[in-house]
Amino acid sequence: MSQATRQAREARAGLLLSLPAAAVIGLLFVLPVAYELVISLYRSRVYEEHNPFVGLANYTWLFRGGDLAAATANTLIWTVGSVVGQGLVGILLAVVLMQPLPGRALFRTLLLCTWIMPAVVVGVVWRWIFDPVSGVINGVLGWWGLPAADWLGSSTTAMGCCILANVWRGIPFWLLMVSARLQAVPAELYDAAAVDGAGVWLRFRHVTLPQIRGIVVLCATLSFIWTFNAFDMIYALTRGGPDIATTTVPLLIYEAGLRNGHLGEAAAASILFLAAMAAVIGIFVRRSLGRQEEV
Amino acid sequence: MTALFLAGQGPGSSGQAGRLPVRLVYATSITQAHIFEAGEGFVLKQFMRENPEIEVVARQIPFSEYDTQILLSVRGGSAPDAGRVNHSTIRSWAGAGYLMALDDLVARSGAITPSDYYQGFWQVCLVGGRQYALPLTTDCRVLFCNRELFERAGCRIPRTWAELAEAAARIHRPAERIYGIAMPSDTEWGAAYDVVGNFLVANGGQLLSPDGRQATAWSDPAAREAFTFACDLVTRHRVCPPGMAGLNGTVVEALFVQNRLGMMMSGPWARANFEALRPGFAWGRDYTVATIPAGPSGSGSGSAQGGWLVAGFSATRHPQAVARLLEYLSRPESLARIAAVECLPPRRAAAAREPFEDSFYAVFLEQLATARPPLALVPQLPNVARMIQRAYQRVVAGSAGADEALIWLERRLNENILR
Repeated sequence: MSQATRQAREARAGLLLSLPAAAVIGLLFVLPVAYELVISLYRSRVYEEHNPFVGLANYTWLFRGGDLAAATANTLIWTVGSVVGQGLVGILLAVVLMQPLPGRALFRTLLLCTWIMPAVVVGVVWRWIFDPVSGVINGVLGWWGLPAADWLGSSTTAMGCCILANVWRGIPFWLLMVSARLQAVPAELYDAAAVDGAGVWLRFRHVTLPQIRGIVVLCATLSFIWTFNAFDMIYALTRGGPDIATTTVPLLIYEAGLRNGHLGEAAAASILFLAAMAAVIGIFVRRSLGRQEEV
Repeated sequence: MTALFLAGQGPGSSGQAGRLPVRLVYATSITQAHIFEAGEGFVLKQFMRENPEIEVVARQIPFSEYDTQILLSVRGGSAPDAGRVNHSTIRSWAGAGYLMALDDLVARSGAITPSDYYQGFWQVCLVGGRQYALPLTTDCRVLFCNRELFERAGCRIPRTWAELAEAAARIHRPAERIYGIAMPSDTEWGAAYDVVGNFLVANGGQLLSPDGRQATAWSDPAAREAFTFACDLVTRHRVCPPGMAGLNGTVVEALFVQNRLGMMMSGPWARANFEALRPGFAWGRDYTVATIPAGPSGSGSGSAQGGWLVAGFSATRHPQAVARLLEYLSRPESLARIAAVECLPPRRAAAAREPFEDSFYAVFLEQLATARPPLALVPQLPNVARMIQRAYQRVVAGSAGADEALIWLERRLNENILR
């Protein structure tokens, strides 16, 4: 048997073996997305019996009459703020907890509690913390004679508060992943750097950071996906308010589709959201894979 | 298959010994066990006792998720057979063909007497001249006044908006964490009904034209006045607690029972909530109720009316059994029991029964005569309510003035929502 024939046969077998997986993916992903795409071309409203074909009208409405632009800006602020905040604090804590500090095991365990809590619970807890009448933050400010603030009710502070709550929840994931990687970094590298006269910052900059780059990219990708998609935390905290200050695209889709019954517009927003997310993740993964290949 | 066949025969043919009972799924938004068991749960058990060939299973869904879950189940092919329908969604659900027409049932029923119902709410059940639901409960908001704070401030119960603002200002002492008045605004319904809606009806204003085709939030002077007054309490008179952009109903009630809030506008359900938050906090001794103060337009007191209807879903395989259930639920004794604790019955024969003879309800029944749903019941109502909430939040969060917010609201409703 020639090599070409063997290769062709193997390719056929591979194709055959991958068919079940392809069918499952088709059923669970391609079919729903295709259906969503079809709905997005119709004026599909739950309170109307007839749903006529409207072409791209739902898409144009999103840009002209909807709040897509504001919701997209909010989504970007929410995602970038959360991922950067979680990353910075998570890496910092991971580095600090590598030092032989008393009670660090207990501290690590306690920190993990925030990660295992459902986002809705975290949202409700933080809503009470920020509550302008009986919240902890205003209570503490009152001890110092400072005026109370309406943290979640003000357009200027609401998004920051949501990000803070999400950073608090996401830190343990980063801590866990980065700590695991740090434990695998050979101590000799630090010793050699110290011998060369590198201080704390230089050791971090030239030893720690290059060593954890891979895991940081992975954590950032996963955090990005989870945060970009997040619905429950913001819903529990502000329901997208005040006005539209914390309405992200997932909230906008929920409001359009399930609250207002405008399935066509919700489907159009979902398709755009999916495309945007796929593009960002694609670029992210490609760049990180490229870097790994370089390494 | 046999069971399905027998179940499909309807109650008239399935009551014989040895036959399987018809099983109905009844959806309700009442999830608190003590309220359900005392009301609908009790009535459903009675119904099953009197109709042993029909089994009714309650599907309890929290109010905040009720419409969404019912819509999803209808679209997904697992609609309940019968259940509550919020007055705000009847138009959209009937228009989409989700509900059974009940004209025949009303015409032949001896238990359902249209003239005995409060007419405003009976009319809500008619869509395009056809009957798609029956009133199950109704409610209206009144003014709750904390007696201790009123006595301490030396105030009278307010009858006009000017008196309301004055009383609130006299009670309000933020340094002591005592506040004049508060209304929940964390949900679109709270903002549209409890905050803006009461003042709107009490001033004879219309945010939407009666046919629901045109927004008049800015064009109607009475509506403009009502919205502005609701905002002024926060921004100009400054008699509200902090956080009015998203104040939670439980926080409002908690402040009231802690003697830290002078006034709030709420429905009959507040009494049970007060009792749960602070046992012994009693009507008459600790607080009193009054009709909503009248606005300057001279239309007299008025209040936002709400309530629930009951309907059969058109996907049911047991329309006869559903009709029997709806008829049973519409009896005065059933309605009185269902409404007890948290709302008012929608027909007079039920309102004459216990516990509505209690003088606590006298003000509610008086207010009911001048109450109406604050908005035309258009299919886009949830979206309209959300826009009202956004306009209100813009003002109290300081990002717009009342006029600016109203102009935005009217334009947004006309250009994007009611199109």
